[in-house]
Amino acid sequence: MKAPARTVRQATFPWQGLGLLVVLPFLVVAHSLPHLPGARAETPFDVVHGMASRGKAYLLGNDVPYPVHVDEHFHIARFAQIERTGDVRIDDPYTGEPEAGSLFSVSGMRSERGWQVAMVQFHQLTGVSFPTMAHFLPALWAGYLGLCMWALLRPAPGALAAAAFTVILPTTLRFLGVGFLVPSAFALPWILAVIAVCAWGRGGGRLVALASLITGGFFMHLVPGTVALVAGLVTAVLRPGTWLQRAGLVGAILLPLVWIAPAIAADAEAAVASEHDLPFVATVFLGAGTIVLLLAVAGAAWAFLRPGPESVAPRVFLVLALLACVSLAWSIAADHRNEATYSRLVPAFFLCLAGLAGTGVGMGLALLRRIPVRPALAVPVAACGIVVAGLLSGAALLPPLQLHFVEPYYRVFDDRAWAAATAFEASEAGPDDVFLSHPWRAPVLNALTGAKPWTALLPGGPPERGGDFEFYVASGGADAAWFKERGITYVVVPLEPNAPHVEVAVGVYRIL
Amino acid sequence: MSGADLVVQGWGWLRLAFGLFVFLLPGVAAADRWLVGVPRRWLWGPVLSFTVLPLTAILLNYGAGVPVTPAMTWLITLGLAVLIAKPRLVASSRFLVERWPRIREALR
Repeated sequence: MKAPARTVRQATFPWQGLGLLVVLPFLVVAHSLPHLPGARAETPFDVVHGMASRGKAYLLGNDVPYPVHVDEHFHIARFAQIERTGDVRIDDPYTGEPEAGSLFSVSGMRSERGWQVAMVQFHQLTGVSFPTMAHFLPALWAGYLGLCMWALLRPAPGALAAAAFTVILPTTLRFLGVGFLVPSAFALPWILAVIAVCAWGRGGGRLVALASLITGGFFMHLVPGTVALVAGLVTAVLRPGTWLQRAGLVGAILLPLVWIAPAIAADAEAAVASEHDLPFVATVFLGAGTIVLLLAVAGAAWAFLRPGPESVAPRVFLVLALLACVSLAWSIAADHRNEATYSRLVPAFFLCLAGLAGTGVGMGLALLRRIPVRPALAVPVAACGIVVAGLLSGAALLPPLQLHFVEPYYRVFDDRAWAAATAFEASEAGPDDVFLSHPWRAPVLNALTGAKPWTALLPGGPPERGGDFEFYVASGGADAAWFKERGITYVVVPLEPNAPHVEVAVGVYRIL
Repeated sequence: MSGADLVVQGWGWLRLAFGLFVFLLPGVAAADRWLVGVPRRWLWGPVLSFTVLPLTAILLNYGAGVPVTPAMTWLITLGLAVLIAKPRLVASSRFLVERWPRIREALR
């Protein structure tokens, strides 16, 4: 009796695990780029060569070991304040004034306190310092995000490709991005978790999980929390099941609004109406590249032509991507520079694109799997299919990778500046002191000592009293009256002050 | 200062590994108990840990003035892990108690 022909699916089985071993480190290295110095990539060859050389530098520890982004500095100052006081209700670490608004309000949730407490707890449990967390955690979390994408889509074709495509999430778009320790990017797995629980969960436990995840998502970051809520509602509608099951899921998803909605109702409208000064970056939509967009269209078509349990997540991604597109397009058309309707939706939009594009790749492989082949040709055909899918995915990923390479980063500290910061930490400076430093370095110096910065860069705006720092440098050290007028007691600048002082360390001076 | 100096602090790598293990306990317990039917559910453990730990800390801080200190964080983490995994722990202990005579016999 003739043996049945092996299908390509059977022949390709071991590639899934091996693929994860390649894809996850790739994501980690790609999202470590802010910490990896190197030249800009101008051509596709530069991208491949740059990734290889920077990956090597990363493994050898020849990268920037300090937090690099202004938002990271800002949050580290708040982590340190929570750690110092042991209280969730912290005063502003720069001024000592109470924070405006209750934690249980839009303005309170926009302070991202849940995420800050989570980072402090992680630090307290593991002993990892805050700068080290800013160095490594974003890249590791980016790898975890890819793993979540794979775990969510796995029964559907293209789960591995979708995990690889999470690299298209931009590292920064007006101070946001996966490569940095910031909550808007950190909260993205919550969206995938809610979809997974809604799509696959059984029993009463899933309702507890959903209520916890939605509440947790809101406390991580308001916008991904809202996206997770919408994703859960869409999944509840699209998943197979009875209407009673769907009603139960919708109830569990909306339950957190009982304790969240009253708190945020008062200033929700004002938050959506508020605008920032930062310009739109409309070209970021093209950053994913034409091939990714075409693959996403193919994946979306497959998801809607093949309704079933496997295509629930891709269909949810499509609905979310369309909703995000409408919001983004409206914001640009109406010139409405709002974080909720524009800036913070971009990572979620790219996450959906990654899921759909991966599904598009999987669709091609699924078509290939249907071809019956002779037993002798099964393995070569499978290998060819994998190679073609790999090349296609590689070509698709080159433009977004190039975008990662050309992003301007904010390497605020070098070895000399960090040595001064460490000396400042070891000095007698405390919360009663006021110090002058480069505005961008001030948040971390504040985190190290608790001393109040005279000049500081807050995310999304020009430095506070930045003119004073410029004057100090231009005047060659100001004078005693200038320091007395401002109450400045320490200077952490590699320029000696023109006032009676004691040199604490190189670049650290105590004004007498 | 090198990257290595920034990484190895406190008790060093041992604390990092043990702390990471303890950090994951409540999340994995929650995934085991609440995510029945979700494929590869333990993969969602980190998300659930980052969910239940800060929410509990915020609730305790606001409700009872419990501070966010290292000792309280360890206590909350282990307490939550035990609380969430209680049904499985009870079942495991029953299993062991029921079979203890046979185990003791076998050990003789």
